[in-house]
Amino acid sequence: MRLVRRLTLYLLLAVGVVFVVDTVVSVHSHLALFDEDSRHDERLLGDAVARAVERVWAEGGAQEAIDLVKAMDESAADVKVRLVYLDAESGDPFAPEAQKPALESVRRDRALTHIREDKGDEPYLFTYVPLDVPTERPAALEVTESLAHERAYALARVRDTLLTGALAVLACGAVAWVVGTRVVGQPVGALVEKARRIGSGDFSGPLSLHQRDELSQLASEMNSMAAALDAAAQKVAAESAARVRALEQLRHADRLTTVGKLASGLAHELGTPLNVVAGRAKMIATEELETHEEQIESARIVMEQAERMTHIVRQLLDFARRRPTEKRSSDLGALARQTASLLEPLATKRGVTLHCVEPEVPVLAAVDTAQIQQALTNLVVNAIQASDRERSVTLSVSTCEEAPETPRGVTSPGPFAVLEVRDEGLGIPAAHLPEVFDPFFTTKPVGEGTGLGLSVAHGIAEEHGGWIDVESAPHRGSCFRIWLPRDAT
Amino acid sequence: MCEHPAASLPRTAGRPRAREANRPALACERTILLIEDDVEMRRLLGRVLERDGYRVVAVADGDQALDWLGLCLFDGSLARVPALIVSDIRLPDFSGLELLEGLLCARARIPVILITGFPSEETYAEALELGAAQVLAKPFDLDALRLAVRTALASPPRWTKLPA
Repeated sequence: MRLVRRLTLYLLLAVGVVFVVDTVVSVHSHLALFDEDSRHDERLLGDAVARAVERVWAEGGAQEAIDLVKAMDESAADVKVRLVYLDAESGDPFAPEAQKPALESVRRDRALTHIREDKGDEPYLFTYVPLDVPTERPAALEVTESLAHERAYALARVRDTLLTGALAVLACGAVAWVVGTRVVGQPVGALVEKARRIGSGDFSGPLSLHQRDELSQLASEMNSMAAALDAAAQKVAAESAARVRALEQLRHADRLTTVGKLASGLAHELGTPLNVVAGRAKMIATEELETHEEQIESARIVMEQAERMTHIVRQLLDFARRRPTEKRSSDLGALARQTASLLEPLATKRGVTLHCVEPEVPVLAAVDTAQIQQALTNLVVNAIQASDRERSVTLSVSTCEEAPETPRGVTSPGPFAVLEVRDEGLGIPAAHLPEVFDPFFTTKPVGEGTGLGLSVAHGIAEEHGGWIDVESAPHRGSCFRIWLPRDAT
Repeated sequence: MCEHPAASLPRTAGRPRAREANRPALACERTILLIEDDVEMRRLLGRVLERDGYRVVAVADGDQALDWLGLCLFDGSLARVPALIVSDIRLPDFSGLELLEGLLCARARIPVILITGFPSEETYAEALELGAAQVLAKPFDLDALRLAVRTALASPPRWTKLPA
């Protein structure tokens, strides 16, 4: 509404100025006309009286002429007519009322002269007509007219004009305010509101202004801009959802690959309890057992072994299951222990010893345990595969207050939890180190590695606000570390 | 389980293996040495074999097995010679295949039945090459074990000639 206020104000100022100028010009021209009119009247009057006085003076003498002038003065209502001597000093009854210097030109030129002069507070117009009479002294006829009515007229004129002006200003102001509010104020307010909504990401509700001007043009441009932004935002959201879905599928595929690797190890784990269950069940079924106690004992063993198998299978299924992402504070030590337990059969199968070094106190971090376990499993499986028989792989959990160097994009200042997987295996050639986290990078023969494991682990670490780094020397082993921001203790 | 308690033990720790050389080994007829680390499996197999009338010596790992056999480090001779050895391939301290190698070195021709949880072509080939009588893959039927034991004991004994 400030715009409307300003427009109205400027309009009123313009109207005011017009009225003031009009008043000044009109008063000025009226006064000029007035003045001209007065002079004309007095010249006519002065000339006529002067000629009559000259004749009376010539025929009847000075006294008669003076009486004539007096009689004329009495008969004239608005003007005062006197006979004066231009050289008479003030105080003399025949002294002129106008000031001396102005009279000099009358004496010199002997021509009709108008003199405008203030007397007291009132303005007067003096008209001197030189008389051609037989006397030594310079006689003249003085016609005096008060100009007070002229000033009163001017004042009245100014007052009228100001009143009209004020009314005009009020009317203009009211019209400008109403029209401005409707044509400018409200549409601009709606445009501002619309722009604010677009800014906050709400692209709904197109704006329609019921007028045909630049503002409605702006509104339609804003509508099409909002529509374009909306389409772009939806496209971005769809793309990002597709990306998340693809990433999720990729991770699931990686998890299933790992499940395949773990399965053969776990199959062995299942072999023994299955053998015991089958054997004991057969004993019960064939009534080989003599006593009731023996039968109960066998049944108990079957139960225990079944539980053992359930535990083994559940570990694998838990790992393979697709779960929604959920981060909560978890003990990384326990997580490492679970992971080690899951991978123990694979390590044993390949003749590799898997050590798990846990800290004495729980190391808590807000993580999605399934994802971190997947990342850790990928690192440990790689380590086991890179190791020869009789070598060992160490999985350890530790803490670090401040990282030696945080990679770009990591905002957490610490403290960190470090999950370290160290092997004594083949190591990674320096030339391959920069590429190991790239998707589909693998040095394993076709069909053995997907090249996804490390890239998935890398993605998971980044998603948790952490990162993953690697140290490796050929034939001396590799050490992968996952750094995660941990809960302050 | 991160570390197996036996994994960190030195191979030869506390093993009273020395004995007087050239003493004839004690042939333990109808005695089966059973080596299996899983306690329930050990009890099950022990029971099955005992029911068939064998004397079963059941041990949990290779170390205990060598103790019982009384391997002489000097000449590789054995103090006790069982009629048959039934052993798991994967043991906490060494593998059943290493046991076979050891017996081969000791020229103790004891029939050996190996049990494995990781059946693979290589394992079979290696085991048979080293002279295993039979390789059973877990899980196996108990009758299959019985049959294997009978076959191994009845087959022409490759081990009749004991080392002098």
